[in-house]
Amino acid sequence: MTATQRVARVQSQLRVVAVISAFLWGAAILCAVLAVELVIGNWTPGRVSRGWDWNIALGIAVMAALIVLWRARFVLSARRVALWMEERAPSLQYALITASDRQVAVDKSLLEAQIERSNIDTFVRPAVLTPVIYSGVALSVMAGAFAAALTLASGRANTAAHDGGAHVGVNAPTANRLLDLSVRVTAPAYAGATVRKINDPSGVTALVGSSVTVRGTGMPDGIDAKLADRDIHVSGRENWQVSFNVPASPTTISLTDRSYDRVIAIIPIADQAPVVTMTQPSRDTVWRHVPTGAISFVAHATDDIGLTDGHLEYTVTTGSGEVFKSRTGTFGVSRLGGAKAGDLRGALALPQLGLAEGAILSVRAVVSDNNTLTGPGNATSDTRTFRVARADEYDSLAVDAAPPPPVERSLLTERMLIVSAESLLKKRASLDTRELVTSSGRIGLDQADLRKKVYNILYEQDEAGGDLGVEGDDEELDPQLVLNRDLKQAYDAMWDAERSLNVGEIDAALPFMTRALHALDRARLANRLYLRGRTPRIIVNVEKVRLTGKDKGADNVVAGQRARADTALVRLDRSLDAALGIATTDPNHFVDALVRLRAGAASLNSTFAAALGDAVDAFRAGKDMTPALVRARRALLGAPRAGNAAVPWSGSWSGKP
Amino acid sequence: MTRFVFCTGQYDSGDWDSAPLVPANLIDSVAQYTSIAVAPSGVNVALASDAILDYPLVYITGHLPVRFSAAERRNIRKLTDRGGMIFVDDHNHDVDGVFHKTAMEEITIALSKPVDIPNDHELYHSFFKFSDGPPTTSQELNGWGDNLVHKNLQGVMRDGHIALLYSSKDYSSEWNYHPESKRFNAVDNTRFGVNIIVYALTR
Repeated sequence: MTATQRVARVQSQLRVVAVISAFLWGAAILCAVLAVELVIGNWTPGRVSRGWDWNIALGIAVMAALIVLWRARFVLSARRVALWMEERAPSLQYALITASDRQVAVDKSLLEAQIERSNIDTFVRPAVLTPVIYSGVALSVMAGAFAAALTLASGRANTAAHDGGAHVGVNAPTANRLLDLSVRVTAPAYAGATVRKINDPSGVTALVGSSVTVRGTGMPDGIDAKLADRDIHVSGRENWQVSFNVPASPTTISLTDRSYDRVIAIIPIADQAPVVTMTQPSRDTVWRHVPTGAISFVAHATDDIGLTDGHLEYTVTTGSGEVFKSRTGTFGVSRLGGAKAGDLRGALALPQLGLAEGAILSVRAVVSDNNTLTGPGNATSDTRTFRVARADEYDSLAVDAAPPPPVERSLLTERMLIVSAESLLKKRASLDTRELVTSSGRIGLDQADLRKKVYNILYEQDEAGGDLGVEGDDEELDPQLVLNRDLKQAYDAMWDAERSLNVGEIDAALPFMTRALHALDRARLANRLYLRGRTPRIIVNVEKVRLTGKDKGADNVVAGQRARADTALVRLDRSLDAALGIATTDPNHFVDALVRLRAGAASLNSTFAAALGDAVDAFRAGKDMTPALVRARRALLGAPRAGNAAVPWSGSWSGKP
Repeated sequence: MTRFVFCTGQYDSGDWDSAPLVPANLIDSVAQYTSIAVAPSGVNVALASDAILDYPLVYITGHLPVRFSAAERRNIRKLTDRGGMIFVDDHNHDVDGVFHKTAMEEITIALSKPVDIPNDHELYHSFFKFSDGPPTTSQELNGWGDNLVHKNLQGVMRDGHIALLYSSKDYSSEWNYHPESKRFNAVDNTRFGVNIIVYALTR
């Protein structure tokens, strides 16, 4: 055998060894990683076995095999294999590499003889087999470790299965599978089907009809789920999950894993109905005559998700006494195309409505949103009412006429003051300064009285000065408190007019008085007043007629006392007390009770429900839940109020503090 | 002791005051038949005002279209949530009439759609016994309005109790006379009004 043939033979042997040892090392590493995963999955507190993660294990194993192959890359070169052999048999003294090199032009017979004498197989064969032996040993050790971990895990699983009374397999979890939950909430299609992920929540707040998937680690065997009282199917293979749609009313989902349980509050958010406001015309009207022409209407609509369409609706009511007729129609139909805001516009040709004296035209806007799940939400605007006055309605003696409203009285008085001021202005040339200032000051006093009346109207006080206290002359009106901007302008203008009148400057006062008059007129028109008489006030002589009736009813029909006002809040308060009663003795059920209470309270008192949610979150995070519970209590009962009187002095220091 | 005050609800859109003598007549009946402490005259309170929440029973009637404002709807909800009761009577006695149609629509928006109240309901024996359900009115028997004798009253229920009582029988016309005239009636037709008040105060 020539030197070249020897090198080629060893090279092929090394190639085979490299492949075998790479495979064996890969297998050993695979066993090691699987053993580690098994240990972590079953022996770490709070973790649940998720099975073997083959992707990670195989990845690491392949990496190890590639490293082994990379390290053996020298087998690709015959020259490097020859060097490798020379290293193992130093007695060759480079005879092998020289003899196997075809570019060296020497007599190779001596070299071949020296190689033959060196008996290199004695050195090379063990060296070739060494990697195989090492990798084989490593594989044996790792496989043994894996088998040991598997055996121990199986033993623990069987023990847990026995304790929990559930039928579980070798890979059964030993820890609570209701920890570290993840929740995926998908909004309904009409709301854009947006997806939201929540980690380990105590409650889920979502739009009604949203799809909710609760996922946990571990197999589904032995896990039960109930939405309110209804069982839900628990699915999944390596990880369990339950799916359901958010119902219309608040509820809970109860999860049970052997002896573990958990409750999650499901708080639905109802799709808000649209809001529509009639912006034009801005107020009601009484027509003195049957109108002609047309009226245009504009309404502005908004929605939390999207509007589909809207229209304007009119009702014409005619008749009197006990006989009325009405007809209804629509106009101004608009497609709003899912926009969150939009305008409705339309016009009514009045002659076509057949209005007559005494007729009432009512117009409102109607819009719908795009809720395709629970049906479209509809909304209507305030109604604008247009009444055609009867020719004889103000001549009727049947009406017990009500006095003019305060604003109208103020308007009349201001007009009278202007007339007085204008008269004085005409006579100014014939008066001396003192008379002018005195007369002007008299009008100024009346102006001050009127200003105070307007103040009382502004703050809804009574005529006499008000229950809220009498206004001081120098008192400034807080613009934040002013409900009627026109009245405020009138009030300010009266101040200016009063100052000028008090010093006899009638020229300067009149523009302010006129401004006040116009502002009062605007305030009068802005009021939505029904023009009708006052209802007759009949005072029954109760004591005289007491129990004089001929018929007798039941002696005692009162089945029970009328329910106390706000009974729902009282009920919630009692439930909170009951939950707090088990806070120290049964913490797990205490939290479940809070979660259930939160779900029950969501539609009654959202502040209370939110505070309970915070309390549960704080408890689960190991934080102090007292502030949240205090907020919950105050949401029911209000903030504590201090007494308005100090404790009277008892005359002795010996009393209890 | 707090006296019962009969409250008529003022709404912005229609003729809420179309039966102005009903309050006095019912107050007179409550005094005649029961020992309930009652104020000698009723009050008119705007539905949009929070003051409406002070009254356990609110009477609403009218002929014209009813279009509640947002504040009026909100207070109707609040009042019934707090245990108050609302009595709505169609003064037109006409299920095709504009009051009925619009009031039903508004009640459905504000609370929920009214349902028929069975004629053996507690309401019909809360004081006087009405074995056949709601007493008929002369408007029904004379064929006014929709020319129907309505077998049932309707209502929106809360926890088994009537939160809103709706009548198409036109008790507003039937009871709209001065209490002094009651002595001319062979049978007092306001007795059912007493039942409504007693029910509202004791349920």
